[in-house]
Amino acid sequence: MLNTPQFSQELEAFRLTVRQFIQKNLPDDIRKMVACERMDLPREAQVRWHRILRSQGGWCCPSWPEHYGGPGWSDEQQYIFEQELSLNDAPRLMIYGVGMLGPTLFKYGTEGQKQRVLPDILEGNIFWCQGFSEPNSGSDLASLQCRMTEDGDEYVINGSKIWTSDAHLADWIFGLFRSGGGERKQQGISFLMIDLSSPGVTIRPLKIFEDTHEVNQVFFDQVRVPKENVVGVPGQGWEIGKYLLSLERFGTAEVSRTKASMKRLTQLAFAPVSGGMRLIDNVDFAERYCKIERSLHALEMTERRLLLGDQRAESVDTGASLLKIRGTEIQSDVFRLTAEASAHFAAIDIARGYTELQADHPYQVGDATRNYFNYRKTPIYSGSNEIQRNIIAKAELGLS
Amino acid sequence: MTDTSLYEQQSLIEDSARRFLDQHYSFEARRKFIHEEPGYSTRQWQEMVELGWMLLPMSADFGGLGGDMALVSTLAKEFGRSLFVNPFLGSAVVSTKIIEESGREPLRSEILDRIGAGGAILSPALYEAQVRYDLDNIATTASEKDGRIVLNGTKTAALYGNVASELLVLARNEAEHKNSNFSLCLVPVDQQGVAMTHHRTHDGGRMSDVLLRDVEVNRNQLLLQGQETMPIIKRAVRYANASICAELVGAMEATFEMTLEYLKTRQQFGKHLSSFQALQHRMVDMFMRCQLAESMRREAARAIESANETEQDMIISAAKCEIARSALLNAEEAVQLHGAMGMMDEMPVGHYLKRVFTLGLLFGDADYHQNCYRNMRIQASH
Repeated sequence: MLNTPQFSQELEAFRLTVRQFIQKNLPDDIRKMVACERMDLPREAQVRWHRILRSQGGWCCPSWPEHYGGPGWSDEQQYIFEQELSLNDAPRLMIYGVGMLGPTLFKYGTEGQKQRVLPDILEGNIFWCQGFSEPNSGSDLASLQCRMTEDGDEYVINGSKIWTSDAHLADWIFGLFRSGGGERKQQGISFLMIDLSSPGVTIRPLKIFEDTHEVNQVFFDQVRVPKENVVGVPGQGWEIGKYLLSLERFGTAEVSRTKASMKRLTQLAFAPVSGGMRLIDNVDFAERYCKIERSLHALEMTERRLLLGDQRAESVDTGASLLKIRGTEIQSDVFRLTAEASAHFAAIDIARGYTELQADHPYQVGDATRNYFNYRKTPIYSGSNEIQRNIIAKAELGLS
Repeated sequence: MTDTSLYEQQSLIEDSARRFLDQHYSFEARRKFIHEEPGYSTRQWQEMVELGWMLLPMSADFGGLGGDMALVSTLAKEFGRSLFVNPFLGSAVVSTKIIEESGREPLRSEILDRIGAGGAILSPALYEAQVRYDLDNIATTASEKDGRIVLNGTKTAALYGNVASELLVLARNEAEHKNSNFSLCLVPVDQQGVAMTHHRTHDGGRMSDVLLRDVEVNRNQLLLQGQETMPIIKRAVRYANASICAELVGAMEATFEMTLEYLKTRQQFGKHLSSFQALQHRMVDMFMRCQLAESMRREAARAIESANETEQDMIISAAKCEIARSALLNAEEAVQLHGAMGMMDEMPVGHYLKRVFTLGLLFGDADYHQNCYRNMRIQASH
């Protein structure tokens, strides 16, 4: 792997502290699941890890200011922390509550909402999921139709949300709902928080072709929600939703996750083979491997430049889209190559969870291929790479 | 990651270079220069000397401005934007870097003074046609005769040999074939036995083939000898590649901007080309390649300052390979998106394609560096 430039001495010392804490405190069963590239961690495991980080102060909510119980870290510290989580096979942070809703409430929430919602996210008591997409509103998000109608002190919700990750683990959902009309479809949308245990909510699991249950369809049938659960004012939803999506600055490219995946592939590539060639000695394999390594390095340096570099020298407004596109393209390449690197093992279909229980080394059986299939989702989710290209074309290049 | 003074120095160089080139090196002026000898304006070259640009790659120990690659890279990027072809790379970068490492005084200081303050032009004669980019296997020999050195062989790609006062000739010590015993000699171009054929390259630059037949030089013209030679040459080649990466990125930026402008102006089917999604997405891909190349340009400059030579080699090879390919792909896309206009000699876009193709070949093409990278990677073993 190519070395990247060091941060300041202070920050590198911070990195070491974080690394040592993770290595000492990350439970082995959780580490193994993450090392097998699983994103579908059981709620229990996620909560356990969240609370271990919570015990360090606000490490479980790295982007939160101290005022709300977070560590008040700088951008560089958050970046390094996220890197160390990835490189040491710790779970991804709980994106919906910690990464998205919390910071959205800092800006748009009422004092009451902050007091009701934030402490339970911080302590890992309440799990959140996100309701944006609908069966007929995918890439064209603003066409969403799931309706909220006013009725006294409440709203009544009817319709459904789809591709809702972790809804089957979650207690609450936040999302965008159609509250009215307007000249533009972006008008008349509101941002709402809904208790999933409310009468009228049904969650239907949607199994992806790889076989894992990560996403769901959430149905709302006459679901009653108190008005105090609207964030901002009714009709402000599109603005708030855009703000929420812009919060995911670090990590959308999954650069450090992919670096961890590359480390696993490296082990396979350089493993001695009795009486045969190592994988890396095959020129075609080696070239694909090297190409990924170079591309990943270029992406990592771009991420650092656009997110942490001297902002006087950087003029890219749509860095998040660029990073997401290239990051997920490279990630897909790594998973395909890793599956192919496993030769005949790659053909064997064994249930998820077998490897981390039975094998010391990930990918000894089947999982590499599962990951390849499973991670086909990343160029599609959070705004498909085609939508991201539209964003860059319009917002960055002024093409219309 | 922020260094205020570096940012400010870079901005100064960028502004001054862009102003200079905007004023003196329009596309029309360039067309005239490259078709006349010596291939650039000597008056402009003299102005560049006066602006101190020759001193930029040179170490402060020899009266230079410090040789910070980040600054050289900034200047080279501006050259790339303007398709500026001139002897800077071969003389002020590569020759300077080789001579700096020579222990021969007063010869070293004398030559560096001439390059830095006088704009003397030296041409590195390192490569040979039959070994492509592989310097370790060159065949030109240096043998001893009556206390003098005798050179025999044929060199290629001596940059701006047409205007050089001296060549830097890399040779293998005779009778020691296939070992690391090399020499580097300073050879005046009018030395007996030196015959040069000058060529215009596709990008309007100049390079020469050099035939060396029993060329005798004094021992004091031996700038490098023995084991020290090749590592120093390779260090200079890394500088050359870091600088080429910057020129390529500059050319990529300019190509991208002109294509964007073209799509926003040109109309077909009653609307601007910029409204077609198929074209928009291709522009986005070009844009992304520009951004990634820019990061690798800075990486290449950073690597030059790194203490670890293997790391330097790997990053330079990674950068050269990726940037050269991206620059070529972007230039091809730019021509294509200009349609038939893209084929016109009067349009700059095709000349950018010629430039990035030609520049990409120098000091190791993309395939060569891809191979170097892979070999180093396999050696690194984890």
